[in-house]
Amino acid sequence: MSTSAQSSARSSGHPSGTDATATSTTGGVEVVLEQLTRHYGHVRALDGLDLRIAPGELVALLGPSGCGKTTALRILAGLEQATSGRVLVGGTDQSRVPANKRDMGMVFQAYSLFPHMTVAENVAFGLKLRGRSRGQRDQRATEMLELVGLGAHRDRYAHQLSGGQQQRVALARALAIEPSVLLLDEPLSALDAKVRTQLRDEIRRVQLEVGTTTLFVTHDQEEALAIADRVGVMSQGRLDQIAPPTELYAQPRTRFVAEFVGLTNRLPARRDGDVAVVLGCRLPRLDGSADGADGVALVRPEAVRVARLDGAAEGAGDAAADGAADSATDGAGVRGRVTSRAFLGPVSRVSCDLADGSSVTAQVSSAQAQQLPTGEQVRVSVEPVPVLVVPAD
Amino acid sequence: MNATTWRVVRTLALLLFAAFFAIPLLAMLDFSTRAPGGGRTGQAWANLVQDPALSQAIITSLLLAAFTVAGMLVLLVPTMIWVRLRVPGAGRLVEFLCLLPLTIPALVIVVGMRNVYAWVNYLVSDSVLTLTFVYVVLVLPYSYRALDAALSSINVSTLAEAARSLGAGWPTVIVRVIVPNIRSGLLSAAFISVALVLGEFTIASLAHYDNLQVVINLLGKSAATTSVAASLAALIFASVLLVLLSFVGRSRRTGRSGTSELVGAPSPGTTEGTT
Amino acid sequence: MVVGAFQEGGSFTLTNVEALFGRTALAALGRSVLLSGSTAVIGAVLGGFLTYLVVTAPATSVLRRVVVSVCGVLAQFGGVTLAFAFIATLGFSGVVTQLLRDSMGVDVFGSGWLFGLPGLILVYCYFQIPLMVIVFLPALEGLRPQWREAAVNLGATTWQYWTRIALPLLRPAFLGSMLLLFANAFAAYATAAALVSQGSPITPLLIRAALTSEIILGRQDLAFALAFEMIIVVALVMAGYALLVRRTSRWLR
Repeated sequence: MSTSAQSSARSSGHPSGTDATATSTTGGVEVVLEQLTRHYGHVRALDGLDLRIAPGELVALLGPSGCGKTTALRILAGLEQATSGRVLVGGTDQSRVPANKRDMGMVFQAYSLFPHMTVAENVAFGLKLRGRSRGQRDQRATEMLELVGLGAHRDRYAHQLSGGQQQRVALARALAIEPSVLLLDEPLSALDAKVRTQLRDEIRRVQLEVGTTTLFVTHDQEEALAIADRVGVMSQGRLDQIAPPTELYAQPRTRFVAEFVGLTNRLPARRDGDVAVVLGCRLPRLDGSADGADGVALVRPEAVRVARLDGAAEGAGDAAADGAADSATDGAGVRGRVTSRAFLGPVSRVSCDLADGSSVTAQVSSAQAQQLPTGEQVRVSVEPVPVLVVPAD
Repeated sequence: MNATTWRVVRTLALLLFAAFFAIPLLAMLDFSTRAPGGGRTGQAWANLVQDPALSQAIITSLLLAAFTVAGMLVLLVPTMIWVRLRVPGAGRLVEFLCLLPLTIPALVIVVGMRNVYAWVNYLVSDSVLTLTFVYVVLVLPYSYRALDAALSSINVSTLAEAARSLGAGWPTVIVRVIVPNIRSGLLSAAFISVALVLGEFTIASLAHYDNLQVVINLLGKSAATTSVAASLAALIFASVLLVLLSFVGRSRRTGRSGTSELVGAPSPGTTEGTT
Repeated sequence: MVVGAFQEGGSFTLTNVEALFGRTALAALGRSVLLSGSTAVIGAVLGGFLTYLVVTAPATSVLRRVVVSVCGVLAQFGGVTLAFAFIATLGFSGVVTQLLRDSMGVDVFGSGWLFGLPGLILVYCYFQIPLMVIVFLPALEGLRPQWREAAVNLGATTWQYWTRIALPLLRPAFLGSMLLLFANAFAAYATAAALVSQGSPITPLLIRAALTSEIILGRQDLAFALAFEMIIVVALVMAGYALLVRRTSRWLR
């Protein structure tokens, strides 16, 4: 799922730094967060966060609420003070610079447009504060509104716009001041699913076009995986792992990352030298796996294969569309029984009960799922993709 | 202005306001405890429970307050819920009607009331409690706002539909489902009404009924200290009531917003696979 | 009542309405407007400031709860007791009067200003300021923190935030509250009745005089006419209020 969404986002955007005729490409600056901590009484919202964002890069911070991701963004914006640590933008220390001198454009979760100003006045507000002439302001506001596709709405008020349009204006307003850094604080979370996907791709397109270094905070993994150059997963005020989306998904380094990003089956695993034996299949172990003899393997649904016992049809994971992989797991696997199916369009999820009483969810093509009615006796096995093994509870 | 200066200014300003509001009250306290020959006495405060006319008036006013609250709730709650569910277009009209009493000076109400009351007194007996009818009208603007705010913060139609689909009749929907969810609004509407009724003087006085404020006023001519003690007591009673209410209301509100946040946030595992 | 305004002894007449434009009635109306206007402005400014002080405290703070609750009560406070409280404070033998007289030799009582229009203005502030807190609080609470943060983020100083964002946003609510205060003071009767025992300086007291008059029969109809006049003034004010509130509620939703 995420791989396809991600590639479509890539292809819809322009390659970085090209085709940006309407706006000046600043190229972006480097942003470094150094050992940031933030304590609220006894609560540690941030606990030694280190993050480096390359010039022009879009990094998404992903995590459950309360993990500290928003705090990190607000400290970068200067809206909150870090208890300790430094914020470097373009190599200079910004830790003591007040928020209104930081030159960062921020898009808030929702409702941040000034309701007594028109759309154009909102976008031009930052420029007005910077003493630009009316002509310059008008021109820039028009330019920015064209960029987000709202040129025709310049004289409307915020309450006359839909939620998605409001967020586009907020994006235009943040970019109008040509900020050194663009900060997006869950800008899509108040929108409905369809608008969310559209605007997500739109944000990426615009970001690539202007080339501004961007930090994007979200609790939605799909959003993060689709939009970012790199995704950082946070928990309890720390960065668990930061990696490009594909790597994060295929090679999670911690159990938290594996379980937070994507669906995961927890299956008993036995260690045999360098491999883990899961459901009778031998799988490579990922770095960061537990050392003990027994543990729990975190297996993606698309790596689980389900085959009818009578051999009439075989359902296999997306990754095993080619027949070559079949032989590797021939004869391996355990018996199970289909308990439910969920149709998700091109793919379906099939849940099976295993002989030992545990259950496992597989993602198979919907055509294959047709052959696996509820109650069908099946053989369940696992693709030989690397897995993370964590200690059993 | 830096943070320290601001804190000083803020504290000073708050103290000045406190002084402006506290000094007249303290002067009342001072006066009500003055003994005739100099020195202090608690006699005036003791009179509050001893003076028969006064205790009668206190009971009258408390009864009036209770009836007014009951009347207001019975009139307003079903109407407002009904309007929200069935005829949202009439919302403006109801709001206008409810805010109308605010626009008409109490004195004017009395003048207009004279004719109507001739009939009320003819039909019902001439009791001070008939003032309830006027007071219900009088508290409408305030209670309307409190209830409106509370109803706006919950999704009335969804709640009602959910309850209806589970087989609840309209009375059950209102009493068992909606009312518990707007309890803080009901409480604040009730307490504002109580504060207003306990402090009402104009109408009762001009309509020649004896409620608390009228008796206090009368006492002011004969036993001034008792009269002052009584009004101070009424003020303190109402203030304490409202402070207590603010605690009830706040704790419920934060509880609710907490849940809605949980409900609103999609859980991480479920968004996968929608592309 | 409206009918009564145009009647005298049962037959239609415009005499009562004409009386509204008599010297006494017009002067009373003028003073009523002056009293209501000045206490509305003072109440709105001071009350608005107090509201801001309260709003900057956390919603759960004791200060906020107490101030809001006490304001709820004091906004309804009035009548003879309020008048008396001020007489006990600033009257000839009032606490503050005596204190200042004894300690500094200052005579704040003067020639009895407390019992005239200036006194009424001061006393009215005692319930106008709390009323402002009650009606203005929702508007100030509706000021979203995001607006401040967005403004700061775009480079606004505190001063610029207030002058460019907060004050323009609050203006309709502020003016609306001020109109409400005006109506409130205009309609207030009990306090004035208690404080001013002689003469009829403001319209409500003139109505009282007309209502309780036993000398001239048929004065009741004049009371109706005066009351009608009050309704018209207050209705105009409240219409303006409704208009302004509708505008803000759209903004601050």
